[in-house]
Amino acid sequence: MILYWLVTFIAFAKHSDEEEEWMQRIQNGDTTAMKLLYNKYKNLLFGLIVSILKNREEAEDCLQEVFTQTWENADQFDASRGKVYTFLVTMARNKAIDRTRSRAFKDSEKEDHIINDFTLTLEGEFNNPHEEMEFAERAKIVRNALNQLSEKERKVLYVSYFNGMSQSEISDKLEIPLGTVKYRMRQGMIKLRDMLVPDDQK
Amino acid sequence: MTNEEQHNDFEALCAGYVLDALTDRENRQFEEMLRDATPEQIQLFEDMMEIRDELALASEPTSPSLEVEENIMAAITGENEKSQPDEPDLKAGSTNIIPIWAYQAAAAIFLIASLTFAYVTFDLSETVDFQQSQITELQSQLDRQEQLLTVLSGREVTLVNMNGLDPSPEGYGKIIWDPDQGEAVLQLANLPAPPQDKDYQLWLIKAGQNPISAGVFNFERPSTDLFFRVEQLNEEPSEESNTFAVTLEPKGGVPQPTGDMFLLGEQQ
Repeated sequence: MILYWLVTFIAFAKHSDEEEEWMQRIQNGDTTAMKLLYNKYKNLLFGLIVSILKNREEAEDCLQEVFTQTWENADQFDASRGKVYTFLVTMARNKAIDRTRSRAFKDSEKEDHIINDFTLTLEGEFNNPHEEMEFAERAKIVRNALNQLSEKERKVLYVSYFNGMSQSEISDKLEIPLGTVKYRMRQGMIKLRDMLVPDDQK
Repeated sequence: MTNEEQHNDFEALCAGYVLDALTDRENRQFEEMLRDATPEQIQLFEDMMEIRDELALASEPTSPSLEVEENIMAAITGENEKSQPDEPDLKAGSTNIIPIWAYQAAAAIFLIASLTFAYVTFDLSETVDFQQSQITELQSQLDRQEQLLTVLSGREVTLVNMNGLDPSPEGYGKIIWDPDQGEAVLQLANLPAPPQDKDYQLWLIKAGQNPISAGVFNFERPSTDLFFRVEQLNEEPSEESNTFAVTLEPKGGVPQPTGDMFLLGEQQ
């Protein structure tokens, strides 16, 4: 197990250096580096955005916005403060959730739709040909860990992450007491930590 | 609060904080806890941040159409070209037949149009911002009232009246307590707004025990209809006596009361 974590860590560090180098080149206006970054992350980020927006056309527009903004604001990326992965995933999630909060999106009544079929993303196939190899192994571990949570804990985490809802909004939407939402969120995150973070790092 | 309870509290707030699911007040409360956190708690916070980011991997990877890449590359290549300084075209300059005054007139018209557009946009943006803030305020009022109604709808609720003491004798308050759900509604009336570095703190004092904190409360304007939802009252009532008190304490609250007592009332 320790060997597995070590190998994963070394592989990750290598890819992380490569991505940081791409970001530096993007900061200098290198469009080839931009293509490399896009091709590595497009499927992961597009999948995330589709999970939030449930609308392919709007998700493509959002993905385009994420990468053009990455290009424009590349100088805001600071490797000492976080990984390229975190920078891109955070931006993609925030932009998609912002869109769900827009008046136009609410008018199209997609909000309930998102809540109701959240399980679709969890039950998706594990061996997806669109999955970047580097992400595939880790994704499998994360999904397995999520599958080991109780359905109720998983639901609270999903609605929070993929719908950007506060605890009180989740309480209203799922019609469960606020205290229960807090409890399930805590339990879910603690269990995921136990499963995903190696003991020697805790 | 025992060390274990404090740690559980930290864990619960930490999970909500990293998922951006807390209220503004809870966010501030957690940030204060984080300032005094132990190395283990800081490690927990960092781990949870990382786990939050990894939740993205749970979504199904999907391939966007080729058009997206083309659009992105077209957008950034266009911007690249725009950012390059224009080199003067000497050859074109030598055959230019458009008079200088025509350029100057065009520049003036463009400047006036830009300024007018900027003014109108700014004005509209201010109106939208103002209306947006009103909507947000109304939404939060509605949310608060719905939360209060949830507590009031409990099967067995207890009412405790609190009277104003020396610092503010005209003040009064009420607690509507639902021990089954561990929740309550607090009304604060005619109390002065707390200074910026202070909060009001609610205490439950059970017979023969130290006061138990039931949360901190803040408001900007004194009023008679200030209602708050108390979520930290997961206590069995004492069979002998249950007293509630409100004191003025340093911002964020303290483990045991230290400041002036403003309200006091005992369950009848």
